[in-house]
Parts: sequence; structure tokens; C-alpha cells
Amino acid sequence: MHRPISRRTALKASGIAVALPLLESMNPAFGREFDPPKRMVMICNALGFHPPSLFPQTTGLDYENTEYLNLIKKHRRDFTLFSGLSHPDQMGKEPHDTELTWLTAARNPGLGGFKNTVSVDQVAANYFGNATRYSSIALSSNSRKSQSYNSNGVMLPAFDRPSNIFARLFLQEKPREQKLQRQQLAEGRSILDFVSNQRNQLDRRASSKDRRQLDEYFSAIRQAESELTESEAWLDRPKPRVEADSPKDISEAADLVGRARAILSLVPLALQTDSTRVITVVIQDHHAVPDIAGVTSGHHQLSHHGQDPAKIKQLKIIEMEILKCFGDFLSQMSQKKEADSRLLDQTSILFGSNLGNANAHDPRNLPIILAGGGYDHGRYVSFDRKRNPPLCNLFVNMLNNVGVETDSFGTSNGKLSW
Amino acid sequence: MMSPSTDKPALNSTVTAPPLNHPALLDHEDQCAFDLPLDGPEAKRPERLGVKADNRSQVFDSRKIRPHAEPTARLCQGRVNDESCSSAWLRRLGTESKQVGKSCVLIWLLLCLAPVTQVAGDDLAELIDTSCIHCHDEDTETRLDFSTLKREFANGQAYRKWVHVFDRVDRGEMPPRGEAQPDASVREKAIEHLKKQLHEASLKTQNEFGRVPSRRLSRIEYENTLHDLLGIGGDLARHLPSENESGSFDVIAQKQEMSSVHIRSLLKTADLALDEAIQLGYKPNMNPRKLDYYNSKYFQMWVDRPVRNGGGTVFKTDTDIVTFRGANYVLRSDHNGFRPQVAGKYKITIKAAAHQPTSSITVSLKRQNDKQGQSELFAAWDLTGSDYRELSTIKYLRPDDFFYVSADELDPAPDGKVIYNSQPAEKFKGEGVKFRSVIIEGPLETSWPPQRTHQLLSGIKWKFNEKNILGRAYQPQLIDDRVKHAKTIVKSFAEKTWHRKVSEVELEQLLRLSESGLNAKKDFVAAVRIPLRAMLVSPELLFLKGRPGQLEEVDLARRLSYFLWRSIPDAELLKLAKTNQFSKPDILTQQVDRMLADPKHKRFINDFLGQWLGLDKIDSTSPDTFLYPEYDDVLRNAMLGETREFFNHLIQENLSAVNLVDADFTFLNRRLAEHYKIDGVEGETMRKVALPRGSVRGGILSHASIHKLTANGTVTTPVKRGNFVLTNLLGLPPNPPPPTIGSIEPDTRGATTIRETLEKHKDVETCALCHRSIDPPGFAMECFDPVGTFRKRYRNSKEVKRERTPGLRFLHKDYTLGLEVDPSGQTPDGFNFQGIRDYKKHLAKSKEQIARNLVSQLIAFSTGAEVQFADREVVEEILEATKKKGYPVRSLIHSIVASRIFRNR
Repeated sequence: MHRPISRRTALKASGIAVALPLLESMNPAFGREFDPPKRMVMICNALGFHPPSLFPQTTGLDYENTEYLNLIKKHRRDFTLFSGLSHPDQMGKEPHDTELTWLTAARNPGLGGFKNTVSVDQVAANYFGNATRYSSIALSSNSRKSQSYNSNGVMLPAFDRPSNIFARLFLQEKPREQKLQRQQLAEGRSILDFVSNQRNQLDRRASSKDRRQLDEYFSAIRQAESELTESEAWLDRPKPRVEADSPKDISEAADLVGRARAILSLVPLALQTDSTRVITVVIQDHHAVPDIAGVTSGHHQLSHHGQDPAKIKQLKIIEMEILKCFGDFLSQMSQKKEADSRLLDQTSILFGSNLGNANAHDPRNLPIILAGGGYDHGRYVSFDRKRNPPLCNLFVNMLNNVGVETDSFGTSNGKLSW
Repeated sequence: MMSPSTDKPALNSTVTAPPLNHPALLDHEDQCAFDLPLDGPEAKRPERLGVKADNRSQVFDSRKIRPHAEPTARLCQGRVNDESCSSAWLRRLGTESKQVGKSCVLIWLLLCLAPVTQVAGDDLAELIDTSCIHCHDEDTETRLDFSTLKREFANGQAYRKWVHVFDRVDRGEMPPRGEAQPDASVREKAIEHLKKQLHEASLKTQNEFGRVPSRRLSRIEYENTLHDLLGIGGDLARHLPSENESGSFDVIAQKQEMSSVHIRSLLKTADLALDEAIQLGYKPNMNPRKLDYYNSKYFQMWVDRPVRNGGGTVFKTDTDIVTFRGANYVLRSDHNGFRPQVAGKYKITIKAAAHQPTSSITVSLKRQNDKQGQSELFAAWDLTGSDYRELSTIKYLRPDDFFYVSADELDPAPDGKVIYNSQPAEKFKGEGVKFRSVIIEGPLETSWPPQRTHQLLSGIKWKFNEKNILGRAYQPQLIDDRVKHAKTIVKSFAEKTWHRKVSEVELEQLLRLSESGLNAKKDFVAAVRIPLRAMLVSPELLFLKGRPGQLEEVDLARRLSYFLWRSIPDAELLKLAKTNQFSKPDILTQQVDRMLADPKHKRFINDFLGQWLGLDKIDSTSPDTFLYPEYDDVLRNAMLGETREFFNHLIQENLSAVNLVDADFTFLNRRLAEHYKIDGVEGETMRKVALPRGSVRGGILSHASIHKLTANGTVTTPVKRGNFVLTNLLGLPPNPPPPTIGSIEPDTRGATTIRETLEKHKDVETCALCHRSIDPPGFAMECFDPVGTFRKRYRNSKEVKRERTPGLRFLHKDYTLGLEVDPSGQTPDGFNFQGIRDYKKHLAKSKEQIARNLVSQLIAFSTGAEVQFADREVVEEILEATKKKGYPVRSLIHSIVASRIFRNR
């Protein structure tokens, strides 16, 4: 069982991190004498991929490259393409509510009584605990909405500004800023301390029926307190240095691809410096018209192509750009080395979507690519299109891959074998 | 049916109810045995089909269902029961209960003491024996087995099952058609008996534990609360986690979430709010000043630039600047000389006229923010003819905001040319807007530091200090002891926030937070700010609570205020509460009237309609700009305005709830009237318009806002609209489709219509059972396209060019007209309608159900809990009392507020 580190341990550990030699152009957290840790990355393109352009006709090792797969063919040995996987019971209230459940598999999102459940990345994050500066990082191309949900089923806000996350991970605060941060954390903690003492005041007034609500509130207070304490501990630990410039934020919402690229380029840096071991990324913007030659309508509108060839043509332009981004990301992940292996081999990467067919908002037959992680790759695996096995079965594999000992997650009924 | 089959799969034979009294089931969330909610409309809404697809759950598989006259009736019923009875405990089995503790033991003890009614021989037995048990026995493949279902109405699980039994029998759905029907007297007797039992059980729980658990403020309520407490404005809710998408109001206590993410965001939001409340920087320029586009170098740059480099869309006359574009970076205020120095209210006045108008033109003001990409439409006005109009609006701006003036709804030149191919701009003949001046006043403060800072840090005098210490130009002049000063401030804010006297002990605890700062003679403001921040995240502010039984008056005042103002009570409400005036019914009525006359009631209108009708989700899909070029933010706001003003009018004029379905008036401005093809409405202000005879408009089913939010992206689907009518308007939600059924793949090529696609609903009996109710309202609404335009033929996107002409609308109506719309149909009760008008007339006959649903929605929204069994009696009383006058909406609100549901916890 993994235990969160105390402030003292963190301080001790900081000495090691600083002493490591520089390898490559980076300052990785692990030298040859260490076993590099396993990581998990989940990337969602929330509007799906036009299925005919993605899925080949033949399965197995000899599948033919489709229009889309051509764009990432040089990584062919480093990924497996799945079709016919999905979460059961995803008919939600709003057609895009499956964005809420891609990583949680909670049923019927948005319908009466819906409550989200923990997302698979957070199970891994809880397992890693405070071993890294951030137990997980949620990133998004265009909004603060992530697909990461804590064990209460509450969404963890995403970072959507690359410069902001870069600063948090790699830019050492000036002593004055550090002092200010420390003050703020201390103030936050003393406030929470005060508020938790309010309980006595309240309990007298509250009925027994209240206790659930108030219990939840006070346990949230305690949790927040310990999170602030951990943040404070990390304040004393120097941040890793990277030889990369802080990325520029792209304010134009229309530059969807530029934004996705900027966000994705931070992932290898964050992983290699062991700033975190769990990252989720959402690529989506429902409203903007992506600034790509040949595209004149919004991404979301185009996803509802209604079989109009003109719209499908434009949709494919956008989706191909996103796939190219993903291809470049895989290149970066395979170029980075640690302890004689590639960073890619240490990282299970899930790339796909919560929609199998965005034109019909169909949440079945999801496009799913599993890359890296040391799996035996290179195949196209097609499951029963009528009776999809649970995507959660693959999540179980991924959890096991990073070291979480479990035989179930969400709606799983076993491990996926292929 | 008498002999149990031996080959039955195990998973189908066992699970009908969880083991009663199992400790794990008795704690946590809404599943506490004494928590009996979910029996209002909410419970009728089946949720979560087969919650766990593992062997704990009974997954419905039509092949396994025994032959029956109407297999699907059983299928659906099974699902209803599935949610209400099984999903909750199954969900819980999955989540480890951490809080099995003291309360659990207590509940367990109480359960053991709960009386167990006789199984046989009561008034229910005959009905069950003659009409139910032969399907619902131990061999049942539904979720209902009367041989094990005990008459334990005090048990949450059993209670919920019985409520469903009651509803199904009471509505005549069970026994199903085609089965032998019970004697009327047997049925009646059973129904009466069950009703009494359930009512008593529900009422007993309410009396003992209260109807509603403490609920927390929603994020919007928290924002309003900060606004009203601190005298600030702006969007603060965005810093808080979004509310649980649970399919009901965000104030329903059972569904609310709380986690450390909330706590940390609350801390942050409170911090930001205090930053805006405490303004001690240099006194900003508050004089009226010009946003001088005319002499701005930045603007001139775009005048001089050729069109290929992004210029050429603006030019100058002797007195004005002229623009030919909509959203325009050229005109952003920050680059042309204005950005708000401090957060506050600003008055922006523009003087503008139409340039070369051939029809109506819209001039608008939009806000943008450094961090948020999307612009927000602040205000839009009509320009007609060549007269200049002076137009102004007051808005809250922050230092990271900027705004720009914009020209919308522009037509191209008579020769068909657009600005990009008709240079220079001076020679272009198309429509544009000319701006004479833009004047900014603000921040609109009467003093500096502003009044809100004086009020919050009461008793402190401020002295200007050139040196700008700690980022402040004003320093506190402490005439007294620092602790004493701090105490005054903290005390006054505590009383304001908590609506009660604060004890010395509490004050001491609060001041301890400032201690180090105060003693060390450090920054006084920073020190005193800490306890203020603590109060803003304290449970007393965040939760609405009270003792079971009748609410104390101050808690009643809070409930009332959060109902109609979505925020803290004002001084008058508190004064009445402190002198126990709310026990007088006419005082309560007066106060409701006063609150509904206060502008703050708009928050109630917006929030209630936003969630009840789903207006909050109007942007969740965006219409195709080529198929529906008429849609833009100006139209969007007018759409929302129509529905809000309409509902508000029903309240203000106390008009019948039946107007929701069919009315002979609506609210329009020029833009929306043009959209509806109704003549004679001028100007941008929404006003009441009597509809012409034979108009398809009137009632919310004809509101463009509703058409927009019930459309599926770029096409309409009768299923979604039918579901809206049944669920949102009538409160009788249909069962969701079986999990294996997907949605219809939209096809806009125009070969088939959606009606043809839906034909198969008729052919397959499994579909027909629900869809004969769902589809007809949707068919009637097919005459409205996704943006609410009345249509006789569909628009096709086949072979359109999809070429953009930014800023110019109506240039290329880039679609072709396709097949004809068929808005006719037949309702399940056999009424044939030709279109929306017939259908509305027919639907209006269900006015009692419409009123019942409205009352239920208002009760849930105002109290934080769905209608429970014991509440039904109250709902029916309210309906009875208002029936004669046709359920006037304000009277409904008055009756709810006066009812025991509202006055009791």
C-alpha cells in the first residue's frame, strides 16, 4: 500500500532530486540506478473521429493503414487500435454528457439521480499519492473542464493555459513570491482550522438528517487542509529545471490545434521530470471555427455532418490535424530516454473519444488507441460491434500496468485480452 | 406460474430487494432508511438502467421475460423499480461507506421498533391476491415480488417500492391492459389503504427528521450572496466547481456534492471577492471620458492597412468612424485607450447611426476578457434611418476586461458586393454603422475608497499616502486600539453574514485568526481580512438549515430570500423575522409581493427557468451557420428574453398557468418579431405583443428558445421535443430507451425526413408503447426549425458552397429547400391534429397536470427537496384552491409559501 509522504520525507527527498546529473537536454528525475516509474496519460478528442476514415477493414497485425492511421504509421509498432469498446448505459440527458463519464463509466450521465464516480486516472493518482509534486494534472485545450473526477465524483478543474502549468512545474518562485505563497497557504489552513471548529456550534442546531451533508463538508475541510499542508511541503523542494522556454498561451480560441499542441508538448516534460505520473488531456471546443485552411465551420457543427460530403471533408481536415498532433506527441515520448528505455515504454497512453459517432452522438464503438506502456503493440483489434465489451476492462489493464493491484474498475467484468 | 422454473438463471431469481436492515445500507447519502424522498416526480423518472451490469443486478433482457400481453409494460416497469429500489443500494455497495457509526445504530434500533403491518388480511391483500401475485410472486422476472415485499412503510426501500405500486395502480397502468382487471371496489379499497399508510409514513419521517436535509448554496447563489454582502459584481461562480448534473435542480440537497475541490475553490472565490470589496489603490479617474477611436493611432493603423492585411473595413468621415464588420478587433477598447483601472460599475454611452441602411441594423457592445476567449454580448440596440441614437448601459467591469462596439445584422451592397471585394471602404455601398462618440463614466462610486470598502472595514478612516505602501495608496488611520478596531469590523460583518448576534467567545475565536498580524503591528488590513474570509466559507453561510418541525423565523426568511432572490435576506425580512411577524399570513403574502417587485427577483426567474426548462443549456449546441445564418447572439438573447419576460408576466399579472401551453400574447422585440414574421414591433426592448389571429406562436412550445435547446445540433428531433413536453411541461417523464437503442443518425441531405425515420417506432411494439406518447408533441413542433423559424419545408445542406463572408449575414442563404414538413399526428388518446395550433389546444386541456408540475417544480426549487408522498396532499390542496381561477401563477407561489411544506423544515 502506498502511503502519502510526510513533509519531512519530502524535504529529505528533495536532496536527491537536486543531486541528479543532467541527462540529455533535461533534468530527469531518474538516473540509471533508479527504476523509472510507470505513468498514465489519457487524451480525449471529445468530438470523436469519423469512423470510416479511422478503422481499417482488416484486423490483426496486417491491418491496412487508413487515411487517419497513415498519419501515425511510423508509430505503428507502438500502439494498438481498438474498435468495439464502450461504456454501458451512456444514454445521458444532454448528447455530450458522455464527456463526463469517459474516464469514470458512471451510468446515464445527467439523468435523474446521476452522480459521477471516481475516474480511472484518479485511482492511479491516489495510488501514487504525494510521491510527486502533483498527484495528477488535468489539462484541456480550451476550458477548465476536465474528465478527472475525485472519489466524491467531483470534477477536478483543468489547466488550459500552458504558461500557467509550465510556471507551476518548472519556474522557481522568487523568495518573495515563495514567502507570499507560504503565507497564503498558512492563512488558508488557519481558516479551515477555524471552520472545522464551527462544528460544535452547528451540531447543536442540526438534526440527525443533516449529518450526512455536514459530515461531507467537514471531511472536505479536513481533506483540503491536508492538501494545503502537502503543497506547503513541496514549496521547500526545488523545482526541476528544464531547458525549454515557457510556452506562449494562445488566446485565439479558433487555434484549436495550436492549443492542443502546446498542451500536449508539456506532457513529456512533466512526466520526465517526475512532476506527476498521471495526466489527462481534453481536446475540444464546441464553438470555435478552427483556424485551419479549408475549414469554415465550427468543429462541433461539422461533427453533425448529416452525411453532407462538404461537411465531412472539412471535419476530416480538423481530425487529421489532431491526429498529427498525437503523432508528434508519440515522437516526443519515444525520443525521451530514461534508464535505457524510452519514456513512451514507461507510459500507458490512452487516446480516443467519448463518442463513437458524433453525428449521432453515439457513445458505443468508441475509437480507442492504446500506446506505449510496454505492451505488445502493432495490431488492430476489433470487438463485437453489437455487444461491446466494457472499456473499463482496458482500464483495469492500464491500472495494473502502473502498479495498482485491482481486478475491477467501474463497469469492468474482467481484464481485456487481445 | 405456480411452479418455479428450474433453469432460471440465478441472477434473475434473487435480487429484488436488498437485505433489509443491513447496516451498510442504512447510512450514507439518500439511502438512509429514514430518508424517504425520491417519491415525487423525480422518482417517476427512471434513472440508471441496470445500475451494475455484474451479477448483483438484474439486467433486463426481453428474451427472459415471460410471455405477457404487453411485455414492454413489464420491461419498463422493471426499470422504474430498478432505479427506485435497487440502484441506490447497488451504488452504495460499490462505494465503501465510511460513516457507519452512531447514527446507524440509532436507525437500526428504530427500525427494529418499526411496526410491521399484517401481511395478509388487510385491504391490500385482496387486490394483490386477485390481480398482482400471479405475475409478481417469487418467480417474477420483474423487480417486484409481493411474496417478499413486507408492509414496512417505515423502511426506506420497501416504502419506495410501495409508492411505485401505488402510482402504477392509481394511474391505471397496472394491471396492464389485456390482463384481467380487478373489481373497482377492490381496487379502490386497496388504493385508499395504501395511500393512507404511505402518507402517514412519509409525514412521520418529515415530522421527526425534517423534510429537507441542510442544503448548501448553489454556485449561483453563492455568487449572489457575495455580491449582496460585499457590494461587488462580476462573474464569481466560474471559480467554483460546476454543479452535479443530476437531472434536477442544483439546490436539491440529496444531489449536492461537496469535496476538497469545493473547499479550495470557495477559499479562492472568497479571497477574490474580498479583493474587489477592499479597494485601496489610487483614486481612479472617475470623470466621463471619451474612448477616442477617431484620434487613436491604433484605429488609424487599420484605416490605413490594405484589406489583405486585415484592414480596409473601417474609414473616417469628418466626424465619425464607420465600420462594416461585426466582431471587430479593430475596435477593442484597450488598444484604443481604455481599460478599467479598478473593478466596478461603468456607464458606457455610445452615439451611433446606421450607415447606408437598407433595413434594420444592430449596434452592440461586447465584453471580452484576457482569460476567457469568448465575448459576451452586453447590450444591443436597433439603428434605423439615418438619425443618431445615444445609447447607454451600465456594466460591471474588471481590470482584465475590455469591450468593443460592434455592428451586426449588416446587409451587403445592392450590387451584391461585400466590403472585402469593394475597396476602398469609403466607396463601399453596403450597410455599416457610424460612431460619433463613445463615453465612459466610472467606476460609479460616490467616494474613494468606495462605499463598499468603508462599509466592510467599518469605523476606519483612510488617509491618502503618496508612497503606495503594500500596493495601497490609502492607509488606515487607527484612532483606537488595533484589536478594538478589528473587533468592530469582525462583529459587524459576522452579524451581517450570520443574521444573528455573535457571542464574545465566537468573536474571540474569529479575532484569533488575525492575532499575529494585529499584535506584531503588521499590515492591519491583511490581518483583519482573514476572519472575514473565514466567515465567507463558514457552514453557517454556506448551508440553509434549521430544526425539524416549523422553521424558526430567521430560517424561514432565509428560505424565502434564497427562493425569490437567490441570496441573503434584506434588513426588512430580518426585522420581521426577529419580531416573529411571519406567523401572520398576510405579512408573508406582502413580503412575497414586495420581493417579486424588487429587481432581484429576476435572479429567480433566470435560475428557475434556466434549470426547469433548461434555458441554461441554450448554448450546448450551435446551429450550422450556413443552414441557419439568421442565428447570432443578439437573436439568442432575444429568445431567452421572450421566455423570461413571458414567465415573469404570468407572475406579475397573476395569469393562468395554462398560458404556458397556449397564450394569445408573447414578448418580442423588433429582431425576434422579424424572426417570427410578425409586423409592427420596433426597437430592441422586449414588450408584450398581442398575437395575430391564427398565429402559430403563443405559449412556450412556440418559443424559439425552446426550439433551440430541444434541437440536436443542426437538426430537430421529435423525440427530444416530445420528451421535453412530457418531462418538463407535464412532469410525466417517459422511460429512457433500452440501452441497446442508439439515437438517430442525422441526415441533412434531404432524401428522407425525420418522420419517415421514426416510422419504425410505430411498427415495433416495444418502441410504440412509449413513443406513441413521446413522438406526437415532437411532430407538432416539427414546424419549427432548430432556431425557431416557422417552416413548411426542411433546409438541406446538400452541395452548399460553405464559403464564409465574415460579418455579413443573409448574404448567401447557403442551403436549398427540401422536403415538406409534416406537423400532424395523433395523440395517445386518439386526438388527431394537423399542426401545432391544434396540438396546443388539445394539450391545454391538461392544465391541471401542467399546474401540478409547476407547483411541484417550484416546491423542489424553493425547499431543496422533491415532492414527497406526504406533500402530495398539499399540492392537491393548492390545485383545488386555485382551480377556479385557472391556476394563476402568483397565487401558486403564494400558496406554496403559505403551505406547511415551505414553513416546515
